[in-house]
Amino acid sequence: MSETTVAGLTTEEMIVNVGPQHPSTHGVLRFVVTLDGERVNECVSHIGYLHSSLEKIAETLRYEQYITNTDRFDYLNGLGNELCYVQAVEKLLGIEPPLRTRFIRTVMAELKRISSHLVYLGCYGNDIGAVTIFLHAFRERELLMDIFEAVTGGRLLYNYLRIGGLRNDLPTGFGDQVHRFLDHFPRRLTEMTDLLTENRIFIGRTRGVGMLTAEQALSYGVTGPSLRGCGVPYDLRKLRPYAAYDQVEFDIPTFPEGDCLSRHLVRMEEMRQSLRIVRQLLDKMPDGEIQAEVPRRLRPEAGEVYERVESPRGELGCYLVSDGSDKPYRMHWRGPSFYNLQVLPEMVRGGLVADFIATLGSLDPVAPDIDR
Amino acid sequence: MSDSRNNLGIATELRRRFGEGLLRAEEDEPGTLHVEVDAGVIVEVCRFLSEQAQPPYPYLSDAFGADYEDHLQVVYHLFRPETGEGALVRANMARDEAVLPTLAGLYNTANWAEREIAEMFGVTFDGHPDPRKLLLPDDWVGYPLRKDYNLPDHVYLRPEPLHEDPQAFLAGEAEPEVTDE
Amino acid sequence: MANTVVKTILDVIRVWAENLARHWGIPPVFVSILAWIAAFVFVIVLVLLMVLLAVYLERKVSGYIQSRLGPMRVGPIGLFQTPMDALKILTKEDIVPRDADKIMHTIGPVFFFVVAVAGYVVIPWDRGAIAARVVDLNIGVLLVMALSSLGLLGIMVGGWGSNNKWSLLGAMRAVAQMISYEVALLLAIVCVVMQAGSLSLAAITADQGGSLLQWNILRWWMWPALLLYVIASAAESKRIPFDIPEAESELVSGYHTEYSGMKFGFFFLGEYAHLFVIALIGTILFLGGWQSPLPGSIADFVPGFIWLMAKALAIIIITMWVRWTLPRLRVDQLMQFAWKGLVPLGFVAILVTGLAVALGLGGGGI
Repeated sequence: MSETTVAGLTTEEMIVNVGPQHPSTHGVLRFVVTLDGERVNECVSHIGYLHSSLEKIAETLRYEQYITNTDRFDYLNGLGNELCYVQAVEKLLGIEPPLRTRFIRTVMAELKRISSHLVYLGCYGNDIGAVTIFLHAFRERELLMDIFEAVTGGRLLYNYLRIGGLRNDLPTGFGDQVHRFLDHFPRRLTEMTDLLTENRIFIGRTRGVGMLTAEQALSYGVTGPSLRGCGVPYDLRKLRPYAAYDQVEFDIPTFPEGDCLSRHLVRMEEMRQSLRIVRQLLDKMPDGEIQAEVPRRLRPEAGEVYERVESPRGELGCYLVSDGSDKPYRMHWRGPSFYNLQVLPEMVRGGLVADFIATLGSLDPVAPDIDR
Repeated sequence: MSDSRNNLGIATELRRRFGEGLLRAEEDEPGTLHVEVDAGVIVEVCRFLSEQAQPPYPYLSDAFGADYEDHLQVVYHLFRPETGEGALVRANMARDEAVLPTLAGLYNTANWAEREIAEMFGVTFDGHPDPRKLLLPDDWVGYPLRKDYNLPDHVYLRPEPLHEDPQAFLAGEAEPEVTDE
Repeated sequence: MANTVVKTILDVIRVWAENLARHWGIPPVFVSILAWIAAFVFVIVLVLLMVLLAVYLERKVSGYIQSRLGPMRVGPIGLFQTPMDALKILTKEDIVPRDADKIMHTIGPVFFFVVAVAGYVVIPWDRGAIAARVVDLNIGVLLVMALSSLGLLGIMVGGWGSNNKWSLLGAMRAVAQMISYEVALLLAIVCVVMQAGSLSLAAITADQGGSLLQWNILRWWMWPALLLYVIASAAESKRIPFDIPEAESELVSGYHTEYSGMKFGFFFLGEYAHLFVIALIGTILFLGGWQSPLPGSIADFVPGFIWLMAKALAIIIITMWVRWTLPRLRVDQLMQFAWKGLVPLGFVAILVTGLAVALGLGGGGI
């Protein structure tokens, strides 16, 4: 504890707990923050409140049984997690899914990305104090939820992807439903930009706050929009295309400043790019089978695979080891929020309490994704 | 773009430098280099891959453990942000003396990753700057992701159990205690 | 005249009470005390009704802005929702943290509420001399401002007495913010006082009489003061973008984190009462108080009381509109804005008003 004396008065640091129950921790997280007045001197993260042993559970379930668990850790990106896991198992088995399946998976993953960024947008507005944007963002997300419900039957937990295929083909009218969304959403996005992103107070709260240099971000393994907000165009969809990303044109938005505002702008622009991807995929959607030939019992040869996809939060990794039986010998998830959160103390040191909240929100962490 | 010749060159160079410690260095799928080494040389191998290899794999994106019953393995995933290529570097060690030099000095990423491996697999990271538990409670006993780990019948995440006879309480035989505090 | 309805009713009650007292042989001094108590009861009932209305409006306005309906279930279009919530809060358990200072914890909200309500006694509700307000002070506007800064003490005591770090931080922020913005607010009020030549709220209202063009909002030399008042009063009522002391996403709930039941209710009521008194003062200072926009026309048949309320409600709805649109400022930005932006603007406003008054533009003056 440092004590300084100003005109005979002593001051001392105050230690406060942000969380585990706090309005802006985005789940159950805890930070022990040392404050000097309003200034943050030190921040220590305590995580693990939502640890759910997903890696150990995988060792007790057959490959096809585990899919339902993948929705559950990064619950804002359920279909993206399924995609990562299913691709890893397919690589182990040497199965190539049909083209139509790859298209549908990509469409769903991109819609899920928009939906996840909308949740970010709403929650971030809430963190900054703009309450209204939350409801506007969730209203649009509801349209996406309707689409997911029509396709998979679920709104949050889908269990839709299958190894080598999908549970069911797209329902009739899917194209129209998505096209309606695609036509309607850009206007709403502009409206939300007017409401929040272009607000002077919002810019004042986020510009130059929570600075992260590209070197810092890379050395801490920060990925996703947070890294692209430092000007590094690292996006696995482009660098190592999987599913149907090699079939579409899109840009990787980057902003070089590395502050909360640039991370926010990256996500706003990514939503527009996702719309572009979905539109192209729908136009080119091929007909055909949705299920590849898959053996009845899945017993991959002994071996291992490390599959990576780009989740809305960053690089999502899935490491699978097979010992030749029908259950994974070992599986590991690289949760992007886990590594993104690690850098937080570097970003908030010396800032104000309000900046701490703004910085935390701009990393868009999902607590179960941190703890897995 | 991934250039297999580069990875072959790196593998050759690795073989030349770390002949004995190196167990495996190959590229079995395009754009991913696989390296397997003894625990002793892991820091040198990673430093070589990050700083001297042409082109280098300068950053660590992920690290995790695996229990192969006869030995423990820690896997590091290095990556190159320009191309997205990755290198999986494995370090093997015996189960009964699971000690590994820390990579936290080389990569900031390793800090939390190694803390997680340490509590889940019982690997001690020599020289780690912050060797506390990360995800598990501080008083947790055992290493849950090891293959021989058995979950205790009842796990109390509080310092003291709520009831003086928890087994009877859970079986419905004892009345709940009402305390003032 | 129809616009003296309130005055007439109050006079009838007063005369009736005086006659009754004379009949029973009670000395006249007790009669005045009783009359004062009656007036306070009238004010408190009015305040509570207005608070309920303001809370209901807040929920409806925010619902409209956020494309939802707001309360709809209890009563027609949800009208009974807020009374029911008020009843609910009365029945809730009062929790005091174990290590809190119990006396301070209790005094804080009560003090805050009492001070917020006390400001109403000098408001001139309607035309007429005594009956239209509880007391007629020749320093009315000064009293309101003094009471409103006294409310701070309640916040500080409550925040400190809760023994919670978030509460303390919220209370400290509240003190810093209110002290800074009170300066700006007073500078704005000084302009109006210069224009009217009196500190009495009745005199300030009278200064704006005659026609719509006499209202301070339509006198161009008052515009700097108006701008200052709008911003500073928003900060004074601690609403977004100035809700730093509560700052839900940062400080959990600020100074009332540890409050429940009716103690929280006092803070809540006090806040809306304060919001309303600020809107009323704003009406009196800039919108001509109880005066109808077109004196001498048919608008005169609407009582002045109704005009005052309608104008104040319009101000409240605008502050709600702002609240549900903007993000929150940061504490240092707030301070910079107050001391580097508003205070200099206040001196400019005083200069402009002073010149205008000296040149005799307003007709009034010192």
